[in-house]
Amino acid sequence: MSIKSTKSMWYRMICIILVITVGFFGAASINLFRYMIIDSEKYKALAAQQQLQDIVLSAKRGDVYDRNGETLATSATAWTVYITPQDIKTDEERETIAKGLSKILDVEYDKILGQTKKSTYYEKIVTAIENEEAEAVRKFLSENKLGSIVGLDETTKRYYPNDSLASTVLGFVGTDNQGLAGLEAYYDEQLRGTAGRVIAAKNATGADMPFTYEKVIDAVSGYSLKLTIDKYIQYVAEKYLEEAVVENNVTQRGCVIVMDPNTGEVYAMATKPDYNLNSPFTITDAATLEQLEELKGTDEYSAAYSAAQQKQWRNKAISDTYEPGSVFKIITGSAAIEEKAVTLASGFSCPGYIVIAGTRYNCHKHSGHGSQILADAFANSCNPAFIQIGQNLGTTPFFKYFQAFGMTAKTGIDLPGETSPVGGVTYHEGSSMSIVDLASESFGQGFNVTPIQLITAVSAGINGGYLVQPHLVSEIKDSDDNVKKSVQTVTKRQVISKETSTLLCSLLENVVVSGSGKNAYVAGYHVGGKTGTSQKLAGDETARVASFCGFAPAYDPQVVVLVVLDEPHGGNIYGGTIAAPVAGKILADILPYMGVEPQYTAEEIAALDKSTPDVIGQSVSSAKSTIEGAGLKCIVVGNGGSVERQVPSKGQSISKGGTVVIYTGSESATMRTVPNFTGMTVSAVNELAGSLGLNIKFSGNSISSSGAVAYAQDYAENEEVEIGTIITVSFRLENGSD
Amino acid sequence: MANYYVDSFAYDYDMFMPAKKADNVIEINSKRKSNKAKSKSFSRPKTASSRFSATTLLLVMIFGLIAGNIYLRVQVNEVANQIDKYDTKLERALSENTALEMEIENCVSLKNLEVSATELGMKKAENYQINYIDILDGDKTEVAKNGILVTADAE
Repeated sequence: MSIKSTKSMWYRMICIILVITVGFFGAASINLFRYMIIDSEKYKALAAQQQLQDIVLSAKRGDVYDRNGETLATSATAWTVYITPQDIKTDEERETIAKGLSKILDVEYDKILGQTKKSTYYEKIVTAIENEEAEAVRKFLSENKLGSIVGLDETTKRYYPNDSLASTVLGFVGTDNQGLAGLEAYYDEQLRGTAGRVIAAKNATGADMPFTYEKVIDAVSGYSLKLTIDKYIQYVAEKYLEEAVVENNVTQRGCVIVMDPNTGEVYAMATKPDYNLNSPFTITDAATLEQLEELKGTDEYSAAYSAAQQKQWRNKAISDTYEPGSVFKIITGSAAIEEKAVTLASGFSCPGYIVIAGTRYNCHKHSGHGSQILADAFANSCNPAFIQIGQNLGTTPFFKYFQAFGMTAKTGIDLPGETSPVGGVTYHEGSSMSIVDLASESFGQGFNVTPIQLITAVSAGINGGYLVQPHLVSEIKDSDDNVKKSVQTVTKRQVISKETSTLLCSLLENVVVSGSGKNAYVAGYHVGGKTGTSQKLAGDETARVASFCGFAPAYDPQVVVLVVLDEPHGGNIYGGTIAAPVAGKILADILPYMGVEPQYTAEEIAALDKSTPDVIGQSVSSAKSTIEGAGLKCIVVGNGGSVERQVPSKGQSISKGGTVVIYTGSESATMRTVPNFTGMTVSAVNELAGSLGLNIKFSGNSISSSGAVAYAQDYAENEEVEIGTIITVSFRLENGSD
Repeated sequence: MANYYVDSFAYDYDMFMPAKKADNVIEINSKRKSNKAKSKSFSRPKTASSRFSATTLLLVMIFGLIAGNIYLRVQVNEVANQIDKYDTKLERALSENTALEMEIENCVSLKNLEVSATELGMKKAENYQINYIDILDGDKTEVAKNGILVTADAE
């Protein structure tokens, strides 16, 4: 009996176990099937999220160098400070955070306090702080045990060591390190690099377990750019442009382009006023800030501020168009010479105006230039003469050259934002061009070009006739300095013959030697160029654009400079008067730097300044003899036997016949009151200064020209200076026109 | 007990005799029994102390392995943490270095140099004060940054 019941129990038990087992494993199998097959992706992701951490490794953005390897832009690790307001428990904590961080990071206390009161998990306090500040934050966090509320995230900071130098060319990056303007935007793909990743196992506390499982995909640094820009040339161009913009009260900004006419390599490109690359969102122009100040508190302020930012970022040299005026006569003239519509002997008559199909065009010289040959027409920048040259050429050939010189297309420079010419809008199409349109266009009015288009066209005119593509990047290199891309000169076409180009160069040199471009003359160098003063026909017709395009050496052009001053309001508005001196100063500084040796004429040598000799310690008689031997006058102060002090000190440049004062004891200095030299001629200034025992340093490229008058001096009128002091007086031809 | 014949002790003939059933044994599973008997015949006699020693040794070995593994992992983590620490230090140092280099670059920028030079009463050399020296290519020497002569042409 007992055996039977045991057996049935045994069977029941087996059945129950079987059912449980089958049920258990069945359920498990179904779930496994669901987890592993149906929802496998979802659970795989959840598991990875729980067990792995994925860290993005930012790629180092490539550097930017000038043509000599000087750093213009680089990147380094920086930190972003953030808080998690949700984790803040008490008001006391809020105040501690706001007080501490505002002190370290120089952020308003109220702003941080407001952020601590938000109900979010992430509030950025400040981005891209440097290690010094980051260390201070870390110390503050550890002292106040706020590590769970305030954190530091790693990020990258872009550095521009030269602040505003070449700002409109280089551009800048945003908070996400993406290029927003200039070369930073144009070459963003190459500079950015590829971000890497670290996928590693993490423990229960979320800490890294690198040796359990770790997969590292290294970040690939961005490529570096080697520019054609030369830091020194850029600096010189910006310095003189800024001076001209301020001095002449230029309201619509000015720009300068310095380029190699043979290769299209841009040495310098500047727009003033510009901005600081390390704080691109801050308005730097004082006049704009003043206007914005007036709008503060109004609804328009925000829009005005944004517009002002856009304006200061805008690269005038490639984005703004203007009517080139007389500088364009280079193109008209070269086309006419090439087409044999004119010769050197061609004569032109200028009674002060010309009438074409009932439209009267005045010459800037109302009394007229009279009878002229081609060289005179260039030197005088005579409008009626160039209208006649244009008419001789005809509309179809004129437009053919207009097109061939690149006036109807973008230059293709490697920068974003180059303005595209539009037929019928920015220029007259050949088919629709009337002889009146031709008359206007012959002397550079009635159409618009960008400064980069014009300098490229002028380069073609002087380099043998080849239209080259301007460019800013010469090499793209990887982080190991391997050249990934080398940019070669792109020659689009030959526009004019070498002979025409050579002839044009000599005609343009004559403009600087004896024409409207005298203010661009540089002693010892053969400078060619053309002045321009254009009306802004599309807007305010009284507004003017003063410009000058110069090059050197005229017999073998190595560098071409274009200066554009948009709407000067400083009394003088002519390109020959205010733009040509800028180009002259730039050329005078950069030609020796480029290794172009000056070749002085006998006349120039005679007019050169003298260097003051070193006579300290010498006997009075010996000192006098040394000074006089150098072609200078000597004034002795005191009764001592030897020279204790001299004014000017050794090696100073003073004009021939200048005065050196030697002191033989501890006598007090003899003082003189500085007179006002403005408006005086060179000889008058020399005479007055000599009578006062002052030395004059003549500045300006036109001092050898009759008619040059002083317009500025470095010591103000009535200032007391020691006898023998060198006063720099700037001269220019005030009657320069066009 | 095996029976031995007197004339030959070398052979156990019982091995060839039919097996005798013991009176006090109930046969349940002959196969199992024979296996048991077989295994019994091959097992070596063991003492309690030797069994204890083996178990202890085994436990010590297992414990040692686990402890060793944990220690190794702790060491690996410590080294990993140190590497992380030094990596962070290096990164911060590099960042500071770049920032300082940029500061230096800024201090010696052309603009600042010119301002400082002017304040010190220095004047820029005039073009006529510059002397140009023409050097033949063959006379040029290239010197590496550390001062070691790389190439030299003396003609």
